[in-house]
Amino acid sequence: MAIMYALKSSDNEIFEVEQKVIEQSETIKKMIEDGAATGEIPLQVSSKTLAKVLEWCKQRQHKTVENENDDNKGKRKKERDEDDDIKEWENKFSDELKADKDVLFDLLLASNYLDLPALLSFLCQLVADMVAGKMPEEIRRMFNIENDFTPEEEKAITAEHGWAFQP
Amino acid sequence: MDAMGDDVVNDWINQLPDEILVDIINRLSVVEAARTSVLSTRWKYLWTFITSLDFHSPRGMWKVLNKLDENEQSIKWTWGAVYRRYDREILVKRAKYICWVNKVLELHRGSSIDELKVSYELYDSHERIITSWIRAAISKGVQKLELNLRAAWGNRQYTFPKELSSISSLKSLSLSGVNVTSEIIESLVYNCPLLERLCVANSRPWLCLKVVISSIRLKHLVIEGCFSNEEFEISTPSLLSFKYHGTGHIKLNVQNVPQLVDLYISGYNLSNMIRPFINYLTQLETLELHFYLCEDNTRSPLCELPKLRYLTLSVSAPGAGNLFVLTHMIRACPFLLKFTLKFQLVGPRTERAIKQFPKCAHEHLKVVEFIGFVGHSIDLELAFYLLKNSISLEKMIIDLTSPFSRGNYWDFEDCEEKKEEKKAARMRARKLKEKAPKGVKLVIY
Repeated sequence: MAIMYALKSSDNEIFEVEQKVIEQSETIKKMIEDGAATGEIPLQVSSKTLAKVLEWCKQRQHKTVENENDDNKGKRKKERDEDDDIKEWENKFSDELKADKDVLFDLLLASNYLDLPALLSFLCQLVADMVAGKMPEEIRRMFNIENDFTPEEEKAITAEHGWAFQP
Repeated sequence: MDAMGDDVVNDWINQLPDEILVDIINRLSVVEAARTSVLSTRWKYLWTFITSLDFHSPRGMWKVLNKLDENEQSIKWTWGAVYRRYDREILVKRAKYICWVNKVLELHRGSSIDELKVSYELYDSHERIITSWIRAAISKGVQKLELNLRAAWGNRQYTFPKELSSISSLKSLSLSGVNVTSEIIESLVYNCPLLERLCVANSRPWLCLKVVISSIRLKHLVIEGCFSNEEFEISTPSLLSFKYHGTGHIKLNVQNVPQLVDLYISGYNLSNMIRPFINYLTQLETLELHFYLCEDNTRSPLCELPKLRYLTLSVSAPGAGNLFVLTHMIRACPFLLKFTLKFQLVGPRTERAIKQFPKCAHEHLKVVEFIGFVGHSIDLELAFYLLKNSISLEKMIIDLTSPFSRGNYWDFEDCEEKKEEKKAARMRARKLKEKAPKGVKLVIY
């Protein structure tokens, strides 16, 4: 029988999760090891975001097991043919997040708080891909970044890093 | 989603801590990273904390030469004329590149540089500058250092400074177009306590007879394009992978590599190149052989390779050639999971009737990949054979892009002639669909 844990979101929703799945979070793993995880584990994460975190962890679980086996043998190059399914899943996951930036950034904060390095790295790459190839004005618009430079300041920076602003 | 009509502005990205923002910026190119400095006051200096500095020049020097070629039809096309123009362009661009690297290193505020990659035509006369870059990276604990310098004809290569051959943080070192003596290599391997990966490529004046690579930490070793009869003595119990790419004019003396599982070998005379590894072949899991198809190279079949899972054969062959000899090699690997053929047709296209190869079951083969598929008799018949005889086959991947031009200076994949050829090859690849048994997925790229 798999050991189950109950996670409580910030809006008081309970998620029943297998230990193996949730142990990917270093934060929770530590709570379990310290014996602090009796009963419900309260987390500062909304139910909507926590659901996404668990979706990731469940998908990731199989991958980690496979990769670990590979590591023991040495190294294995990523084979594009063998990773098709995972890639497809990841693409769908990314598309959903791109469409809902509230969840995307909540998830980034959650992965940092729960110490899920693989998810954090995946999300950082996702945001980087969104930024790549865009000019500053587009990036500001995409992420609602307020430009608090005076026009003179902005001009000065653009001039200083001239090499970065040539198309 | 846009700013339009969004009265309650969600300042998502500003809620993230600095280290996450730096992590995001670190995944951009250096140019794009610097561009974020203008987003808002909070972003102004964030990019100067990135840890990965890849000074990759987007437009390589060869592209400059190509561009001249296109634009200046009026110039009398002599090498002299082209080089004079080329020299001028190169001087301006190189000065800009050097300024750029200097500037970024000067602005860098982070306490660490994990990765420094310099990729440009620089040589001996830039010694002071290149060395200062390496020093800057060392002072910030560089783990991965890559110099890809490609000195043009007649220029002396930059010499890796002997006094920098002991870098305590270094895990991976790649030197291409850099002059290294055996003394420096041996010193690097001996004195960098964390060094796991070493790549030496296109080093011109070796001026040495023998390099001894002996380490208990080194896991990956790559030697590329060195050709003046150097002798490499490799005794590295920790070695997992070894790659030699070149003409085969080097001597390899290999001993004590009990962990070697991944081997890449090339050369005019294949059996000569394999001989030093003869005692270690049975432990290999991945093998890539790069050779020209001729009788000499395929006469002696490989001994049985019981652990091999991934076999790649990179073959150049004339259209009239016969790839059937390769099936001996596949047969030598009873537990093979994936077979890849990287194929380059040399000389005129010769069409002949498709041959039937004798039957032979390859029981475990699940994936077959053809890169550089042309769909002439020579590779089509091998594809037919593998479809018929690989009883566990799940997938056949047909990639029409030539394996040897990809990503290098001679990448002409986009030219019209190539496009036409590819279209024709795609048509021919469809023939495989008719022959593919049920349950085999055929993918054409």
